[in-house]
Amino acid sequence: MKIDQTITLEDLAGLVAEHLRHEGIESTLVGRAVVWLYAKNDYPSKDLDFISPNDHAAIIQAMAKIGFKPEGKDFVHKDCPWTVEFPTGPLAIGNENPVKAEGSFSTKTGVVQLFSPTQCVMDRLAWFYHNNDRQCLDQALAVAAAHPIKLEKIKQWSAREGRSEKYEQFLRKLKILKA
Amino acid sequence: MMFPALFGNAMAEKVLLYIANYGEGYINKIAKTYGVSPSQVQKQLKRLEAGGILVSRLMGNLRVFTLNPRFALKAELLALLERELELLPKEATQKLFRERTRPRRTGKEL
Repeated sequence: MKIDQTITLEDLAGLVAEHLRHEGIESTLVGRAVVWLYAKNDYPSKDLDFISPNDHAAIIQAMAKIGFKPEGKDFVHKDCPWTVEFPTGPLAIGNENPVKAEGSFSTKTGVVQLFSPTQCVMDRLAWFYHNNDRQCLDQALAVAAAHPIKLEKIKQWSAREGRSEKYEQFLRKLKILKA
Repeated sequence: MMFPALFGNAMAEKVLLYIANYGEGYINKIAKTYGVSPSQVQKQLKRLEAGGILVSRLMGNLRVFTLNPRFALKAELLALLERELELLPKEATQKLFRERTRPRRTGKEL
């Protein structure tokens, strides 16, 4: 698939992940784009954030092969509406790190490694728990409503984060949403 | 807002909703959110602080207000405000109560 103005975020994620894999580079998609793949909600992502344990120079070389050039912290493509970034790892959910991503998402262009829906909900809730970010609470609810998730796992993790009270708030809103 | 009589006046209600939603707030930011003068917000913040409902601390030059953790009805007040936030129209929620508060790298587009 060609990268141009019409490519979807989803297909770009698959294309980049597959290409990096082919180049021997591990990548895990994180952030708002994961929410967007699992539950197209009110907060569309404007870029793709991948965490990779590989050397940044190797990533620059690999990304150049599909037309992405580094510009500051971002990789930009002259024909692509989205940018790609490789934030510093390791993968973390709230105060827990490193974390292994347990999900994968198949697109027309390739398979993307990412958080499972349960991990994605926890990742979003972490920002609500620790930064009071209501956008992330909305995103956690959207994913939780659209996918089967392990509530007991989220409850235990919330307790470890010291935010059981906020977990109850999330749970109550999820029940209202699903009713 | 929906229940100004319950909170004494509409501005007090707005201030409490803001703080319940974002966890904390300061005069200029709350005033900017609602498009009102800082003095209107300041008056209510002072009143609520004097009543023991809010507490404040200085962060640099900013006086930041939060709900008073020792206020006996804090949990009940929060539950009430949270429920009111849920009942607001989606447009109002998005406009007033969904500002990004998680970190964002300097220079990165919101």
